[in-house]
Amino acid sequence: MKIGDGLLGLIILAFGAVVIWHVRGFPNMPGHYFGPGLFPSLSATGLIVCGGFLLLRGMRAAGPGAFAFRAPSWCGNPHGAVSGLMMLATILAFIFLGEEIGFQILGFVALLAFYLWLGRGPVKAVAVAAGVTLALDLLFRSVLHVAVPSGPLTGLW
Amino acid sequence: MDKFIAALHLVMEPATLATLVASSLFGFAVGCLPGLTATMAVALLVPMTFFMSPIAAITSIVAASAMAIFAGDIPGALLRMPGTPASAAYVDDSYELTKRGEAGLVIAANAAFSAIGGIFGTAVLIVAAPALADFALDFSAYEFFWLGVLGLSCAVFVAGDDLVKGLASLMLGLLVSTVGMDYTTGHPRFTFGIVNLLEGVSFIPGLIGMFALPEILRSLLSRGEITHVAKVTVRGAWRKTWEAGKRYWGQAAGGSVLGTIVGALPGGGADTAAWISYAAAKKMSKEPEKWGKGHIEGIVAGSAANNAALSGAWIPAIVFAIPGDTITAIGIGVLYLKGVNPGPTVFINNGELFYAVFIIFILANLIMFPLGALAMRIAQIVLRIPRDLILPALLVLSMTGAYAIDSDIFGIWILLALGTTAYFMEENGFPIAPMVLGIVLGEIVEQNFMQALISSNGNVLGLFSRPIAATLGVATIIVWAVPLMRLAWSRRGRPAPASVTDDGNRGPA
Repeated sequence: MKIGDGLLGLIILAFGAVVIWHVRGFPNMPGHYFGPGLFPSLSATGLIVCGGFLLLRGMRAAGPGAFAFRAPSWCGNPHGAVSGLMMLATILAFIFLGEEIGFQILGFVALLAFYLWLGRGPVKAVAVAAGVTLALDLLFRSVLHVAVPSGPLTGLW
Repeated sequence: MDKFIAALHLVMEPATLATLVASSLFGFAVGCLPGLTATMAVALLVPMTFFMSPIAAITSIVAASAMAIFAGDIPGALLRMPGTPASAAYVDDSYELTKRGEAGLVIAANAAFSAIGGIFGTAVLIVAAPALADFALDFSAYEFFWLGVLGLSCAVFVAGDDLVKGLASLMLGLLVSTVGMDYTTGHPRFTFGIVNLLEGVSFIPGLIGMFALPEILRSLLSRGEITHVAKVTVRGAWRKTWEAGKRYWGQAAGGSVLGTIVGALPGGGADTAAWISYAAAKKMSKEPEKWGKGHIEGIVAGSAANNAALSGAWIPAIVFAIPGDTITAIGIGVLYLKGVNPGPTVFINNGELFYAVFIIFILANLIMFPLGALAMRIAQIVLRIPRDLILPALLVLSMTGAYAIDSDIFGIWILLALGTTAYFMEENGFPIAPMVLGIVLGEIVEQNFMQALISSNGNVLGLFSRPIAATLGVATIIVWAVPLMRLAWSRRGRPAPASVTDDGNRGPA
């Protein structure tokens, strides 16, 4: 999604202002005029300055694009859009179900869904999804001793 | 000498050598795949370094990045698609030579001059890092504050053409770095009651998200199978490379020097080094009319430069804990994970380790010769592996890595949040390197800033009270003042640029 510089500037400027408003509530260090809010305030001021410049740039350009949204490239590419949504769904599934059903099942199902969607035959898709899941599980848990989200299949091999 | 022998023992451990070979092969595979960067290869390796020894962990980063930068040249030569942005500068010359049946020469030259550039950068690192560290031993919070600000300023100027967007990216990174308990008072900032944020935004899941997610998404969106890969003629390739080396040794040397310098500048990176070195060599060439039409001269200069930049970037990273590029930013994160704090005392506290790192740098570059020879034979096979099979696996690998750092699902939230932000930023022409460096350096810069302010009783001018700090402070002001004045001067009377543009922005190497 592309946004015109003017609108981008406005968003950045507003975000910086909200941050400064928020950090006003931070306490100062005893005996000093500054505290935990100083550094975030300076960063937010930088954002406001940048937002201001972008806004000015958009106003000076004065074209219809300065405050416009342009549809993302995948809008004209339904296959790509579904792939992108599947990616988001996979990440959300790991977040909400990861520690319920575990990496072994989730990883396999996610890979299988992707391979089928991307045009692999069912046999090849199952074989590759199972192989990749098993390889990653072995790599992380057995070789590197790194934790993966655990579930009913964890520890069976 | 004792330290050198101890370092040699560390390097010669079978686990370290095995890591060197395995990481090089991983870097080779990722670098070969068009669209996937060396930084992504390194980010995906981080979770695997948790249970490695510190030397093996650093070995994996150094070897994978060096090999990925070289391997990025291969699809450039065979498909006219640079594998990493660092190979883009000379892709036309590479492909034109391939069309004439010289793909073997191109890959051999890429390997040889990448190794030469990398070894040159390492030599500078070996000489400069201990000397600089010795010089910096007396530095206090004042000097480190200015060094950090100077480094971040360079990152903004080098990262892209749009200064305002680069600066906004940096400010956002600095803001992200302030999430969590404050250093001075313990006051929670921007945590909104989320306990996982009290320790701050976990750095590694954030980096994996910022480098892996946008690239995987873009690759999924622009789905395309590689149907034709040019044939590689191995015969005579090394002999021709030797002849090119004899003829264009000056370009190799120039590329190595420029690459090391650009690499050492925070935000510089291998891709900028390759472009600058290619442009400089073309300017000084006796045959500029041949450039872009299949001339080996630019390949010599660019290949040497991008690998020299990788080594150069470690100079400020090791000595001042200021990363030269996104790869060293991850490297610094790994060093902290391993309890090895970079800074001027590294050669006192961890002498053997860093001498071992130097040896690893040399080995990681030397291994390019046998792997370059191997690449000529297996490049066609690797490039024909369907991306459709690899991208979902990389997605699952990214999430597993983001989880593994703290064994916590919250890591995947961070991956999603920062990955989405990075994708959106890149779509709109914001470079993400300044943001990454802001996240990495923000905490250090803020701590030194607060420490210096407390020491000087809140007097901002106190930041200039020590000679070196004052010099660095003035240098920072000049770094900002000169381009801003030139910008203001050049804009007088010129119409404003269009707003929504299709400009690509320079990403990480």
